[in-house]
Amino acid sequence: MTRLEEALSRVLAVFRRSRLDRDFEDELATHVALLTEQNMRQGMSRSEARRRAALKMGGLTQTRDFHREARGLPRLEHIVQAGVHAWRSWSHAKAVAFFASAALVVGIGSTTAIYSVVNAVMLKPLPYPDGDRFVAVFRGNLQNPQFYSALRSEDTERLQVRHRSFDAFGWFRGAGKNMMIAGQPYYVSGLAVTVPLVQAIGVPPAIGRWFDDETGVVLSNGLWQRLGGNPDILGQTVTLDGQTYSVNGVMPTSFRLPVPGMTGAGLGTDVWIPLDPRERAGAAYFAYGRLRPGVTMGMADDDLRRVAADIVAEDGPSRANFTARLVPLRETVSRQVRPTLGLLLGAAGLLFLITCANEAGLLLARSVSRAQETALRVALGAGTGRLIVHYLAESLLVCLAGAAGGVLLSVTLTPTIVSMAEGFVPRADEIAVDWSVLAFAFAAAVVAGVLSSLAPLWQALRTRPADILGDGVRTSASRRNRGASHSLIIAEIALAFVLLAAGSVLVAHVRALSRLSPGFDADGVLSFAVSIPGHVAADPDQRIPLQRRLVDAIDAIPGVEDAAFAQLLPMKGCCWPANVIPDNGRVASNPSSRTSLMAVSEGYFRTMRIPLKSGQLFREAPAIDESGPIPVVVSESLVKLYWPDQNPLGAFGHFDRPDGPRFTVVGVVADVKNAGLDNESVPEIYRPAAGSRIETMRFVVRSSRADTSLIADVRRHIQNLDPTQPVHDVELMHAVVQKTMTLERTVSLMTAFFAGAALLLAMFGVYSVVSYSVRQRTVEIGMRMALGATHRTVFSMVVGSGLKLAAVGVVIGGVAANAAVSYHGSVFRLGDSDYAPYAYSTAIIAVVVFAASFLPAWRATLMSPLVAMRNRL
Amino acid sequence: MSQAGKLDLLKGTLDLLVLQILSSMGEMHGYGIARRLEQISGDELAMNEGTIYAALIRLQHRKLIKTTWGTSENNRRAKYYSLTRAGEKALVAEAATWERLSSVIGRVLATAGARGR
Repeated sequence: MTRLEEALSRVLAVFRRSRLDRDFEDELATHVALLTEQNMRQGMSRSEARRRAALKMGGLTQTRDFHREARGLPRLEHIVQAGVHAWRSWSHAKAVAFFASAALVVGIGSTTAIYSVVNAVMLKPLPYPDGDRFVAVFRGNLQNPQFYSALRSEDTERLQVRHRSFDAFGWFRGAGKNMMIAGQPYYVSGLAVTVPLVQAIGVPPAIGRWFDDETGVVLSNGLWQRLGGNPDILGQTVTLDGQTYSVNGVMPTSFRLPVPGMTGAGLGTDVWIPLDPRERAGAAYFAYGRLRPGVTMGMADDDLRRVAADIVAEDGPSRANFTARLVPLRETVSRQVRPTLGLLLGAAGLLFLITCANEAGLLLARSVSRAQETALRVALGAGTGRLIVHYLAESLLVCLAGAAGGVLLSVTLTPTIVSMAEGFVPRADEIAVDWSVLAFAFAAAVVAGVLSSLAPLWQALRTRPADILGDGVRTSASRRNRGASHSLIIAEIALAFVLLAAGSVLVAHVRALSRLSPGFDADGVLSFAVSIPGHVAADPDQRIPLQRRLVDAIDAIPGVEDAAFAQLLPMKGCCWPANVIPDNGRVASNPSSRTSLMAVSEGYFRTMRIPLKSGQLFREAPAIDESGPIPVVVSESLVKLYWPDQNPLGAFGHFDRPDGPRFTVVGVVADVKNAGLDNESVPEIYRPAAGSRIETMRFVVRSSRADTSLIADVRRHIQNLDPTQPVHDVELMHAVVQKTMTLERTVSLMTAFFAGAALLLAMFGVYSVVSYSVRQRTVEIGMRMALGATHRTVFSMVVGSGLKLAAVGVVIGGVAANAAVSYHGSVFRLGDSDYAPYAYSTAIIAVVVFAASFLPAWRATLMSPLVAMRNRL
Repeated sequence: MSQAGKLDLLKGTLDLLVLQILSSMGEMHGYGIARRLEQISGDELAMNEGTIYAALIRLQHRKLIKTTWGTSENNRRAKYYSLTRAGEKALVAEAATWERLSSVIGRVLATAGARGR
């Protein structure tokens, strides 16, 4: 307890400093007076008596010092003092302080911006109570550990009954709906969720409540706002795909049930409708479970595997490879963006290090010019501790200011990054500057402060006061100092080179990607979607005439050359899986290879300009021919897979199972890059749309007209057919293709931005180092000129010194860049890059360093040799 | 730097001496304590009088002494120190500790001498 009391008195003493100081002065004065009088009584003169008295005390200043140290918190007071000194000394060099802080704002701000994204996407727990206990359950393949896919509802039902690891379990699937409310048709994206799952999520609606039977729906906040934001909406009836529901509740903003595999934040859900657990709609379900307390991921994984093995035993050999896999929900949400974020964080980190090196260089230069002051301090007894505190305080002051500015910068930078990577950043609305981000910025400032004060501190600790106070700065600001500042610049250039090289590689990659052909002609094609209710899609007598009417209506629009639809747009997610069993008995050699199924209308290949390689395209039949085999068109890679050494035309096969629907190959078309521009095409099989139950028809329309007028006409014509039919997802096909490169483009832009900032900093660093060395070598230069060196010689000498530094930096940077690029090349499948990016980066650095050394070199040539030789620093 | 090192060694003992002086002499100001210390120790202690004030502050923090303002012999403002109850107890305890410590050290040093140094 006394310790605490003592600490408390010390703290109080800090606050009552001046009062206590005055009191002690009185005390001290009394003591000294008494001593003086005593001395005088012994016969000394007044002044002698006084002097002796002070001596006996041990020195008045020292007494005051000891008193103060015993009284307050000396460490704290030293720190505060150091802070005040630092502030004062920076106020004498405002320009340098400003520049240092500005560089730090960029360095810390970029890193903080990326961190705030990383924090929201990967680190923060999911916004559900006990969010970390949620896992996503996938269908897996025993042969392929990388295979994750959706489950069938038969499986989820059995999992639910037989698991032992969860205290909450449910499943859901996507369910887009045509909604009619207040006479207006909307297309809304929905999720059909089993009732126990929504109850278990633990996030109650903002108004109303969750549904507990099949008649209620819950709207998202966004949809509610679009519909007017009126709380009266509770209880109102809403028609979804012809079925009526009543609105049970509205969710708070930013609530979502993440759908694994879909990173598009734009795929926000508008409505949640109840899912009948007995529904069987194929393999389209995702399941979540909440781990029971005490159950680990491993235990749950084993448990589900056991249930899956039981299912395989029950269902027979057709499901031989089936198993169930678990992934923590938080991970599934961020899985796709994680490598990209890692890359960006690395690049920002490099920029941060460059900023620190820059700062260190600045501080070093300052410490050299204040060498005398430092020498004096050391001579007067400043210990290592005091020096460290002093330099740290100076450095931290600037770094904390930089961090404050950096936080502001990140507030503006982060939304830009997120909008560039539009749709690919999950949990985007959770990105905000919270305590974690502020703490990160503060930590970054501290790290920067410590790192950048190392160089000047090291210098100061090795100062011998006698050297400096005697001869002046010139001699001791010699080799050692130059060595330190040169190393810093080399480090800066090396790091800048890495950023430049990485940026160039990425930019080249994006350029190469955009030149790749997607396999179809995307220019001049507009796409949009029309969705019909499930029951209409299921009935061929309703859907086929409807499809025909739609296509005809669109064809009739003036300016339209071709129109068609498919169940999926190429390059907008892949693919509808198909199981192809050709009659020749071939099986895919690789068990994890997949085949894509596309149900397309007759004009599809013509509209998309996908070239026909052999055979012919299927023609639209007036009705489904139930008896004959389905005519299909296959892609070239499918031919390589199943008919590698025979003509596929006329070959037969079955879908799904050996006794499934029979097909015959009528034509072969070129591959389409359905899995992304830089991926191998997934082998594809096309079947006529009439035979498929398509709920959402993705139309593609080729026309020379601009899209806004065209889409207005499209809407009008479709409204004429059916006023309740909404048109949604309008996009230019060109934009769809571009969007697949969004992540790459974002990263390459950001890296280029970082590289630019790095170059700027390096340029400034080179400039200061070179001008400093020119000043150091003034006498030498003067002598050379006097001995006959021309302007050009001097110029090239100075520039040469700068370029030499650059050369070392480039070599080091080149090695590091090579390692970095090959490590991260796997992220974007960059493939073997040639040396062009490195050559470009070297050239850019050479130019920048030349520009930076230009001014000092030029100034050197302007020196008059006589003045130079007489120059004394 | 070295000055501080020397003082450290004496730090604990000076506090003890001041406590003892205040206990035996009652209320005193800093000058008085210094004179008394000089008197008793026969001037053998080579120390600066100013350090007494640091000791007094430390004792104040530990609530072992209390202060009042008064007037000194030469009509100047001076602070007078006296022991608190806690201070008296602490004095007894620390004096005992000191006794034990010095006797133990004495015994150890005596044995070292027995080996014919």
